[in-house]
Amino acid sequence: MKRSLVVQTTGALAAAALILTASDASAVELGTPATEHPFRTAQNFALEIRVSPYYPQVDDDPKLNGAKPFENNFGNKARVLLSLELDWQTFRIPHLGTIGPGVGVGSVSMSRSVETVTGRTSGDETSLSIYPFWGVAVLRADVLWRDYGFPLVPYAKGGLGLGIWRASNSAGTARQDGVSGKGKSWGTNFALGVGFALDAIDKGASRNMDNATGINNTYVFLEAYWLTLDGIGQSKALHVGTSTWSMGLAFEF
Amino acid sequence: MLSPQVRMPLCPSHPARPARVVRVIASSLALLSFLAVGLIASHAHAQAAGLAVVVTNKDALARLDGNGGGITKRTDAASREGVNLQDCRGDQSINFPLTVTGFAPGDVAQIWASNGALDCTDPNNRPGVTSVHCFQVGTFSLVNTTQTTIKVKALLAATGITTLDSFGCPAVDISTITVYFMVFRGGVATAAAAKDTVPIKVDTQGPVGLTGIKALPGDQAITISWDSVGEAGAQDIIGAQALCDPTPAPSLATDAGTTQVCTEAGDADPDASATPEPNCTTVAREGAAAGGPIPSTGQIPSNGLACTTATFATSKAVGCGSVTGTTGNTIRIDTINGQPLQNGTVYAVAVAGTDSFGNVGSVSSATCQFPEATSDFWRDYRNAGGQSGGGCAVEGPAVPIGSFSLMLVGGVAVLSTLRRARAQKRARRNDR
Repeated sequence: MKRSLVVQTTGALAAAALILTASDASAVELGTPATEHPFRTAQNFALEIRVSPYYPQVDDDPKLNGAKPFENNFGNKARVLLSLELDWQTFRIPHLGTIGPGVGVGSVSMSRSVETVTGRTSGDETSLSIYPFWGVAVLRADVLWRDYGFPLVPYAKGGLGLGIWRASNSAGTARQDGVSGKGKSWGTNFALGVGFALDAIDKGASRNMDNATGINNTYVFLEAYWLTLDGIGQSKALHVGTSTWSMGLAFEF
Repeated sequence: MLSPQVRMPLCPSHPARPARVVRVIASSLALLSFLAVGLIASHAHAQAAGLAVVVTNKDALARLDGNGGGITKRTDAASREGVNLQDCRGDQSINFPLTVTGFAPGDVAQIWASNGALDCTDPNNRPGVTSVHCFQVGTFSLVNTTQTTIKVKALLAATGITTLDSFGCPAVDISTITVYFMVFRGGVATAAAAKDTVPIKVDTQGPVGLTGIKALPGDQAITISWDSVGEAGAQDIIGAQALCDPTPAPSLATDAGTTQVCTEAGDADPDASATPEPNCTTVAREGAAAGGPIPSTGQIPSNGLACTTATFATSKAVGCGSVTGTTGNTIRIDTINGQPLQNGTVYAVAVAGTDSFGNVGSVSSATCQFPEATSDFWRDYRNAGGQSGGGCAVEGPAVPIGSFSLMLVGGVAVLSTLRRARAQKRARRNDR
């Protein structure tokens, strides 16, 4: 499973490099070409700056038989995941939108003071840090905005996720029964969202920004996503995924 | 034509002539005497002209420990060549390499030191070794090249401070001691015929004691905390040092009254009511004297219990952790002398501020605490049946997400620029 993923990723990167360095770019038309009327520079990528609440599904592991070690140690409030996603809008589908691969990376951590086994206040802390990564295919249906001027862009994503995590305490990486508290959990990632094109508020300023910086569109977006990091191909994964929502800013350029 | 009245002063009368002769003779004799003294002094100076004493390598003098072995000096340039409290307590010595030339039989070589502006080459400032101004700290051999070693404690004696701690060290606020290497000709009561000096900065006075000491238990660890000193103001404090008794046998402090230590919600006001507050424990006050039994673990609340040990009483506790800067106010102690702390064993710990000269300041009152196992997410997860773990994906305290993200964005910017440039080139070609 992991090997095939590596092979696929390597192949995709090689293909991308080949296409980008091809001397005769007209052979394959990638991205969205520039236009004069209306003025638009070429559009190839989207960058999302994302914020979302994050409550990992550790306690949903059936091997825990209903025990809630996460909730008992960190409470039941979600933490904040900060993340970035970069999409390559490889192909434009006429009168629909763009489609292409995207990768994302984020960071969320939780920490809390602990008590001793006799209930005394302790100077120690227990922590869990999670670094979710994902690789997805992204379809952005920007036909409403580009063809009709209606500033909403719905989109969908689907792909694989990977959570790298580390459980620690005041002495460093936690260890119990000789097993250190660190590892990785594979899973899937699906998302549905909608972006509001801020360019609609001031089209002149948007055109100037495109001319000056190459940023074609700026969106504020809201997205629901299901990052199920419960161990694809793994029998002993820590369930660090979550189902939640995200919002942020996206730039197409 | 001059008048007689005018000529009189220019031509004195004969009765004044003998006195004039006497004055001339006296003046001549005085002149001769002066010349004679000058010639004699000049001769003497010619004899001492080749006499010189030089301390070589003044900026990097070797330092020896109490047993005469070489030590590695501090790395901080400001205090490296100076003397702090730990140097004194470690009974260090300073080695001075000397080069002496032009000496003669009968010359005497001595080393003096002064704290302040007084010049030890002036015999009036060297009335004897009990002088409060200059102190003789040694002698050296009159050979062409030699070395002499002077104890740090001997140099500190030149401060004239006679109140010493249990290690024999005075408390000296920042000051400079000047060490004089002198050669005398014609007796030590004269001015030095040759000399060299070495200034040595000394500061053996650390910051004042930290307050608000608490010692919280941890799993095989104790976390000691204190009231934050913030930017520290005018006080020279750059960090803190935790101190521990390496032999865990503290005594319960007993005879200086009691106070209440509260875990969380209790009202710690022992004067308000004789009735103990809930969540509070009555403990001995900080600074209380020794005398009680070893405190049992059942007596010790979360914040620790005032206690004392002979080790702390003699300031011979060992360093067991430190923090640099004045913003942090906790130190987690998990080893003492390299040995891990044991859960259930009572330890006495304290803390002291450190200054820019490497001095450890006044040590706080000792606080007793015992480590105890704590709850822990990973322990709870594994004990509940969780089977994950043991991976090698993340070893350090953090994954370089920031760097990765920047690299990602940078790569995209480069790719975008390349494609944009190519598109423009193609457009220009099409235009042609």
